[in-house]
Amino acid sequence: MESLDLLSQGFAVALMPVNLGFLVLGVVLGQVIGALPGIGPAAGMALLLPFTYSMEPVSGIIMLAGIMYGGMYGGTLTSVLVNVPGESSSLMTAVDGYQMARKGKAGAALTIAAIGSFAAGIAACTALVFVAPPLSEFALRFSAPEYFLLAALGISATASLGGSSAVKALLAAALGLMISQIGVDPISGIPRLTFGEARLLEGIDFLPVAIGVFGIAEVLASIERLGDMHPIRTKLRDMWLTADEWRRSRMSIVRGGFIGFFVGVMPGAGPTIASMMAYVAERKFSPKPEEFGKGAIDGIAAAESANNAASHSALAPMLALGIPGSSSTAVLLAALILLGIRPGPGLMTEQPDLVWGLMASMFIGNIVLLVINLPLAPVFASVLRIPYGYLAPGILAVSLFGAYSSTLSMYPVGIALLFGLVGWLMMKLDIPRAPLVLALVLAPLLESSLRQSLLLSLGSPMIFLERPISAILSIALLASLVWPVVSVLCQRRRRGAA
Amino acid sequence: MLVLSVVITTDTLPQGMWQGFTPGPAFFPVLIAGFTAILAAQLLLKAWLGPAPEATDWPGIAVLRTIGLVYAGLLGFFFLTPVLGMIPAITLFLLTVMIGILRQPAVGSLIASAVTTVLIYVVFVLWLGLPLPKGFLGL
Repeated sequence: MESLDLLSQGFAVALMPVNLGFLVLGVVLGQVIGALPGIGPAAGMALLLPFTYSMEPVSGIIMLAGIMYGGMYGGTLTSVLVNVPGESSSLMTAVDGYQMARKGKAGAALTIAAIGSFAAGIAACTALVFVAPPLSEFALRFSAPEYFLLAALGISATASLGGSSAVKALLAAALGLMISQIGVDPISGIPRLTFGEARLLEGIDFLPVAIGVFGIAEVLASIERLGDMHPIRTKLRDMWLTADEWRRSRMSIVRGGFIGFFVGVMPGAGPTIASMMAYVAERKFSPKPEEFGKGAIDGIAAAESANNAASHSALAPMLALGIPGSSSTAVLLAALILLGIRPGPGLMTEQPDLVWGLMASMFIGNIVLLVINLPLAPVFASVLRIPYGYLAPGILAVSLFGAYSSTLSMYPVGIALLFGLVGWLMMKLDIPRAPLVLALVLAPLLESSLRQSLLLSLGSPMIFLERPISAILSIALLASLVWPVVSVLCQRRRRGAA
Repeated sequence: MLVLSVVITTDTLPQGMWQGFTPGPAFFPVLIAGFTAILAAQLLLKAWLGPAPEATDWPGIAVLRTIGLVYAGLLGFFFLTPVLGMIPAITLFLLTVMIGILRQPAVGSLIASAVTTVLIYVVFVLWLGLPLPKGFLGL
C-alpha cells in the first residue's frame, strides 16, 4: 500500500506541466530515434544527455527514460515498413512485420505492435512499482563485497548473454575497464596511465565514449545501407485489426510481456534478448508455427510486448541497486551521476520524487506512445521518407556538439571521434559494444568496492565467500563466467552426435 | 589487447600492487591487464588452432571510401574549428558531406544544412548558453 501512496505522489510530480512537457518531448524523440535506422535509444539518450544539464534532475531523467522506451515503439515502424530494424530489439519484428507489409497488412502489424507494447509496458510499470522497493530495501544490507560482486556480475552477465562470442564480449568489457583506469587513483591520488599528459588526469569521461561508440559508429555503419531505404506506405484506415488477428495475438501479448519482464530484470539481458526469447517461445505456442518468418502476427505481438516490458523492468536493478543491466540503463545511470545524484539502494529513500516521478511518468508515457502509434503512425512513418543522406550528417553534427558540451572543450570531441572509429570496427568485427560502456560506468564502483573489501578483510579474498549474500553472488558470477564455456562444449557435443 | 595489457602492466606496476594489508594503485589495473591477456590469448589460440572464422562483413571499396571520406570530414571539423569557429566549421562539414560525399541534391542539402545549423545554434547557444569556440570571422 505504501508503494501506491508513493506512486500517487509520483503522479503529482510527473503531471507537473514542466515534467509533462519533457515527458512528451522524450517519448516523441524516442519514437523518432527508434524509427531512424542506425541510431538506437542508447545512442539517442547519450546524444541528448547534455540537454539535461540545464534541467531539473527529475525532468531530465523523465525525458531520457521517455527516449528509452519510446525507442521500443519507434523501432517497429522501420522494421515493418523498411525491413531494417530501427534498433536491435526490433529485429524479430522485421522478420514477420515486413512480410505482413508486403501482403498489404502493414497497418495491422503496426497496430498489434503498438497494443502489445502498450499492454506489456503498463503491466511492467505496475510490476516495477511493487518489485523495486523490496529489492532496494534488501540491497540496503549490502556492503562493499556485495557491491563488487554485483557490479562484476552486471558486466559478466552482459558478456555471457550478449550473443556472438562471449570472449569477444568480455574483451569489450575489459577495454572499458582499461579506459576507466586512465586518470588519478581514487584512493591514493597517484596518476595512472596518464603518460605525462595533464588532460588525462581527469580520466576519460563516459559521455564522449558513449557518443562515439553508439552515435558516431552507428551513423558510419548505416551509411552502408544508404540506398536500401524504400519505405512501404501505410494509411490510417489500414490500422484496424480483424477479430481473427486479435484472437490470435492477445495471449501472445501476455506471454511476451511475462518473458520480457523477467528477462529485463536480469542483469545483462536487455530488450533484444527478451524479444528473441519471446519470439522463439511464441512459435512453440502458435497454432500456425509454419507462418513464422512469413508474416505471423502473433510473432510480432510477442516480440514487441517482450521488448517494451524488458525496457521497463531493466530499470528495477538500476533504481534499486544502482547496477545497470543494459546499455540504455547505463546511460540513464550516467545521467543520474552527471546530474549530481548518487545511485544505489539509498536512491529510493533519498530521492523519492525522482524515482516515483519517473515510475509514474512511464505510465503516462506509454499512453502518449499508444496515441502516437495508433492514429499518428502514418505521420511518424513519413519521417522515414526524409533521405538518410540529409539525416546522417545532421546526427553526426549533434554528436559533435553533444561531446563538446560535456566539458566545453574540443578534447572530448576528439575522444568521441576516436571511439566512433573504435565502435564502427567493433560492429564490423561482431564485438558487442554494450559491455564496453557498462564496464566504463561500473568501473569506479568495481574498483573502490574491491579495494574496500580487501581492506576490511586485511587482504583475504575469503570475504567474498564468508557472507551469505556474497557467497550466492560469487556462485552467480562464477556461473556467468563458466556458462559460455559450457554452452560451447554442449553445442560441440550435439554437433558431434549429429 | 595483448599489447594494451603489457602497456598497462609496465606503466602501473611500479606504483605498487600491495601496500601493507591493502591493495595499492597498481592492483586493479594489473588485475584487469591479466584478465585481458588471458582472454586475448584464448582468442588468438582459437583463431590459430581452430576452424577458420566466418569472414567479416566488410563493405565494398566504394562504400568504404564513402565512410572514410565522412570520417575525414569529421576530422576536418575537429581541426578547422579553432580556425573557423564551431558554427562555420559545422556548416562547412554538413555541406561537404551532403553534397560532396553523399551526393545529395544541392538545394535540398543547402536547406538541410541551414535547418541543422539553426537548430544547433538555438539549442546549444540560445537555450543551453554554451560558449562555442569562435574563429577569425568572429562567429
